[in-house]
Amino acid sequence: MAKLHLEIVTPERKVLETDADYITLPGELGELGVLPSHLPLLTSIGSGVLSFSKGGVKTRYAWHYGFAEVHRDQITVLAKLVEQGKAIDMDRAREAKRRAEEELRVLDRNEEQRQAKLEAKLLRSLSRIEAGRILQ
Amino acid sequence: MATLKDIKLRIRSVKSTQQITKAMKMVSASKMKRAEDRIKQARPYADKLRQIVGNLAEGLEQDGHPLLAKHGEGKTLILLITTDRGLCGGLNANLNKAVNRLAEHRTKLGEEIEIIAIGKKGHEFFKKLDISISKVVRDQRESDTAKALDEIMRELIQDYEKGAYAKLFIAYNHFKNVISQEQIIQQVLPLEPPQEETKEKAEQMEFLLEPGKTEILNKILPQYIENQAFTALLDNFACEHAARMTAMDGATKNAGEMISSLTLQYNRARQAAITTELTEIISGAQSV
Repeated sequence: MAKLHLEIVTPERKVLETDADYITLPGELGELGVLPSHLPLLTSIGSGVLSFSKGGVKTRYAWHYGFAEVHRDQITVLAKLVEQGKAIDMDRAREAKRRAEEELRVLDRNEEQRQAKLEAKLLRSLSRIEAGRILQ
Repeated sequence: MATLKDIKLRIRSVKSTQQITKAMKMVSASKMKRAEDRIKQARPYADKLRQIVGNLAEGLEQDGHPLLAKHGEGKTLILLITTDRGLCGGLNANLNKAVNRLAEHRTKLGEEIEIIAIGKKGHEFFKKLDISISKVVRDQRESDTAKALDEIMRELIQDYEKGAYAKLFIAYNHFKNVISQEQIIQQVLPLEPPQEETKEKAEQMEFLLEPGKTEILNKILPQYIENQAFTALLDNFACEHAARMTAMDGATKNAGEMISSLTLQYNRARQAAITTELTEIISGAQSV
């Protein structure tokens, strides 16, 4: 069976280049699975978990804001921030989530910008926890 | 004429300077290597982004997105990236002069110029001139500078969408190779979509866009512009270290030449002193 070729790049460096059988992306309109021979696709992506399986082994990445391009079995993922699930410090992530929730609760209604920022933070910590969870 | 002791002291001081320049050269060499690696690692992201933007923006009208729209009249901003530290040859001076020429030219045309100074050397230069500086980032670590730049770019993009200014340029040094750096003054806003090579064009197909073209453009264009500034900064870092390395290499060589000419002088003076002493002794002995 044809294989997908996955590349993850951030502004600083190329994080990963590998073959994969199946990839799930946290698309902005919902989760999105990609198998070989997918149509050419360009999508923007929110915060979430990207996972791919290769020979039955699943690897997960926490992923925050970026784009994915699917073109002839070549998937290129551009992200501002990527963390491998294994490398995530769960305690810190939980702590960050708790803090963000706390601050959101006491936030004034008219501080829209700050609210957006906090919500983004919360989302980030959630996807971190999600990515780190199963492997532990 | 300088006495023997004077010359000896002089030689010693030049030698210690030479040791410093030699050490600086080696430090810069390793920093340059690292900066160069960072550029290389950042390249895949920048290339891919440019390719996507090129594909997307093709056939897009000027009013297709606020960042592509030309504002006509208004301020011109120049984001000037220089180094914080000196001792790197004419790197900053050349760039400052080039930017100043552009600024003068544009002022003559009746445009208002504003400088955003990243790095101390550019700030110091334009502080003395009659050009307004709106923001300054200086004397920070490299990683903090990158963060501050990110923040500034975000604001600049928002301001542009609001129509606060008409044009944005980025001025920086481009790392061609170790011995040559090139000053680049590049227009960033209004955004001119990058032209793709013909080969890429032939492969291009209809992409499925999710959620939609406008939404994707809204996200990817700011990202693209921020990334341009980020790569410019990385480029400038590499230039800084390369230029310093070359400058320090030259300084070390000059110090070496100076030491050898001073040593020659020292030996001559020593020989002269011995000769005088001998003549004195001989003439003293003869007179007895």
